[in-house]
Amino acid sequence: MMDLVFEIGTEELPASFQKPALEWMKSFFDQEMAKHGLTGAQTWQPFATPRRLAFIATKLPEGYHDETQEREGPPAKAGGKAIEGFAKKMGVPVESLRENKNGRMVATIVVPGAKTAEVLPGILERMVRGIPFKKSMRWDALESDPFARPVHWIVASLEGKLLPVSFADVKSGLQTRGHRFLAPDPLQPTAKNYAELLRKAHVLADWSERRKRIEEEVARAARETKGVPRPDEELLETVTGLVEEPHAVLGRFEEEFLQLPPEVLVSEMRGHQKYFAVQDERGQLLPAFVAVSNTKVRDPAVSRKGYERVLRARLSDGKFFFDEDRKSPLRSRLEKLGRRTFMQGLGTELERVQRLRDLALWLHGATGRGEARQLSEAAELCKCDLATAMVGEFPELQGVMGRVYALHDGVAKEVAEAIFDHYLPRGAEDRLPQSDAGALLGMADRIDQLVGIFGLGKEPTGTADPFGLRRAALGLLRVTLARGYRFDMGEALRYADNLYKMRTAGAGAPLDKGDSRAPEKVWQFLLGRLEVLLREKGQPDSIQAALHTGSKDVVALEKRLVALQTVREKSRAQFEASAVAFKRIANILAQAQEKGIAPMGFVPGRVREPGEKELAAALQRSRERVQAAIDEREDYLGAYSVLAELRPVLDEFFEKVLVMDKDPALRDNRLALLRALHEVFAPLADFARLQVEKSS
Amino acid sequence: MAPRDFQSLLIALQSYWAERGCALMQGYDLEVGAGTMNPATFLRVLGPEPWNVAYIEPSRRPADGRFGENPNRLHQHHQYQVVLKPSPKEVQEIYLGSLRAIGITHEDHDLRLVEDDWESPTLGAWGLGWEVWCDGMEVTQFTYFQQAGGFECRPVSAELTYGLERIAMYLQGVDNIYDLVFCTYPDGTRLTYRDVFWQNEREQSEYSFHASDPERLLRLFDEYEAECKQLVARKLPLPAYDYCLKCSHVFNLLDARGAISVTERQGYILRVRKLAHECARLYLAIRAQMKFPALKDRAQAERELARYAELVE
Repeated sequence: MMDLVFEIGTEELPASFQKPALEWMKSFFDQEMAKHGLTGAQTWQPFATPRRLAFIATKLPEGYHDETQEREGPPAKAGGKAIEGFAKKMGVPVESLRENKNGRMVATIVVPGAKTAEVLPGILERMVRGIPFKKSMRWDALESDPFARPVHWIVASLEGKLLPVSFADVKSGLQTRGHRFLAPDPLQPTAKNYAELLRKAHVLADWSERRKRIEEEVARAARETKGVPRPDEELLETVTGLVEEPHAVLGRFEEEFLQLPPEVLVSEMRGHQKYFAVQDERGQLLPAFVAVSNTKVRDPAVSRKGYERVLRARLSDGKFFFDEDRKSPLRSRLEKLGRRTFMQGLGTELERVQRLRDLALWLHGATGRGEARQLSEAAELCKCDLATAMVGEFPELQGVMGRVYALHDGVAKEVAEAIFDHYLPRGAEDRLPQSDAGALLGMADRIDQLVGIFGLGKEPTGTADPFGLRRAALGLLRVTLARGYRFDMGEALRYADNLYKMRTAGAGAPLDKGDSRAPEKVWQFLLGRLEVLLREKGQPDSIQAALHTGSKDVVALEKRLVALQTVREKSRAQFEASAVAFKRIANILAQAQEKGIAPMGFVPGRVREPGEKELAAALQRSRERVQAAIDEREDYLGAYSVLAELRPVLDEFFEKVLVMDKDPALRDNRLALLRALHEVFAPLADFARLQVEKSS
Repeated sequence: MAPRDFQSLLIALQSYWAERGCALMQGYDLEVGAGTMNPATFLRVLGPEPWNVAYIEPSRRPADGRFGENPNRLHQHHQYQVVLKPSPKEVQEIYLGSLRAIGITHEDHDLRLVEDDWESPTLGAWGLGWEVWCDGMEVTQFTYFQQAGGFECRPVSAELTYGLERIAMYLQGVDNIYDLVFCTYPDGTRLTYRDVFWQNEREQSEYSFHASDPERLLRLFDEYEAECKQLVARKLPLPAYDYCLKCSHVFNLLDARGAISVTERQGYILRVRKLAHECARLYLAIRAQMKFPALKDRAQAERELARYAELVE
């Protein structure tokens, strides 16, 4: 059993590159070891700092044991030459060959197992070359081997012995380095003392240990002003990727800046400066911040003064923007929106705002929710902050500033809140809008974006989703479901598409967005997202069956899924039998269509067999009950019980009656009967998509 | 010891880089937005010939003008520009030495290298590197040039761009650019940054935002572009590049004046980029024709020629 220390020493790596690289390195290592028949490490400790990506793998096997294998050669009767040749090829003496029961000569050979120490250099070298970075670079006069930043050393030590690994102009060694400033001399680590040795050299190599230290340091510094750090996981991760040994310093700013909206202050501190904001126990910001330094400086007062000076300049700028922005009302920015392009091919921001207003009002009409005047005002104001100086400087404050400035202008609170709310949810974990105005406006925004960009043919492909359309689709569906909005999404998409074609306010030619199939494509895209969103609510085939029931009312689709899954779980055997029967109907109808048999209407007079008669009668009885249950009460469970009642008659029909009769008239009539039956129950589920077995 | 006034800072940097074998050149005698645009950087980073240079570049950004009223923003600031080609293995240490030479040491300050990707759409250039922070303030842009004029940089150059006013403000402990001490007269009078540049800031801002004639500027853009093209056709990349710079500056003026719509903007950027690309291509072709005379290793020169063969007609 052997321990491996591997480290790539670099110039300062981007913070966001470090953890993903480590994860990739682990999976690559395991994969490659397995390829050589070697078990992986017993423990795997990853390390990452701005200047190193490293891991320690313990208890690696010495190698894979030699294996005895038999190889079959020519038939025994083939004679001397062939057999000698075989023995030679196998590298064994002729006398050692024997004949097996098939009458062929067999050689017993020893296949040597891979030796860990021999395969590791290759694996590690391929690992360094293979790490996928978002962006890589070349340096010096080196022609190949790009990396995220220049590589300066590689440690590759197996039980203290050097493994030869080369990359760019670096050859592996046994020595690492400590902190850039505080411990630049070479150090020779072992698997056992790696973390400790670096800790002494002012490097906390373990990510989570360093992160925890930063948290403690920041909290300690915040206590100096009787505050607590404002929680910020993302910033904490970033700062962890920026320092090797954290030292927190508390700084302050002038109270007058607290007049700025808290979001502005936080953006100024975290965005450019990577400072932590400090608040009191009630969550109110204090005029202070915590910066995290990479070194313990002689006199913290010097760097504190520096941190404060930079922030003061930024806050003065922020205050200037805030004051300037409030000199003219938010609404006055509409005119400026007319000169900003929303997206090449999709008109100006002003045209977008006009579409959003129309679409939001349409949604208001379709759902019967919200209040038209508020909605219309919120729509007109919702993008105005894009043309303010503050959002120009801090794009992440869109919506936030809109709300602040609207309230300042005396706009109704509901409208101001809707301006902010319409961006919600901003991600999978984010909260949803509080009001109908915010919700409907946000839905309009997302529908407009989806239809517009799909129309340009720029829908997401593979993992590439530059316009965040997956997030937009998920947001749209989450809001619709959570607030129970009932409307036909297909119509909404077509309406949005038409708004592009009409180009509101009569100005200019219709926008040629290109693809007229956009609404349908968007709907298919939404179905895909809906599948993901409803994953928890049913097994995969239930989701498929419920989503493909023809309705484009998203809330109805969810109800159908819940009913289907309930029935499947409650009375499994009975349901599966019905489902099998309906799958059979779907198959028969599909085959008939394939054969080119034209669908005919059902003629009661043409019914011959008793089984047929009974089914026709049962259909007659169930049709109204099912339709009433579904259309009037949305009682899908009720509809399923009718389905259950019908099954014996249906079984009888299939047992006694031949659908594909020689007589085309009889055949067509029986097909028509099945089709009618199928149509009645189609809103429940697309039975053909269910994976059910014929019960015995 | 920290330099006591603005020009001592310049002198300290000049001697530091002179001692490390950089050719001390001057800022270019045409309007540029950054030291990168000086042909001593933009063209010299192309091709295989080594090059080490340092210079002070007065950099004009018409849209950043604030009529001499903003304590931090200027129409024209000064960059200290260093290019090391190829980038030396120890370039980070050499750079940190230069900070020490101007009194910024890691014993007293929080020095950090924070990821920054640099890109110039008008020059068709990009590189990776860092913003160098001193106590949270960006003091230098540190870039490994990957591409210029649309051509791969082989070898890679390291470009160090110091923001001189900011550093000086920090060293002198002033919060307003105009309070910087430029130098001290023999009688003890302090010449301030205000004395030297304030009127220029006021007038240039007035010019950029109100007084320029957009129509004439648009015509000039077309004229300069035409001149650049005809000089490219005559195989004169350096004079042609001068007119590319003229175009870039006129574009900046038009932009500051608000005379270019968002949609047109992209079009102008592309036009300048095309000129920059043509100049870069021609410059490389001519250096190749001259068989890269600055390369000492003639065998290497031959190998390099093969790489650029298709540029040479």
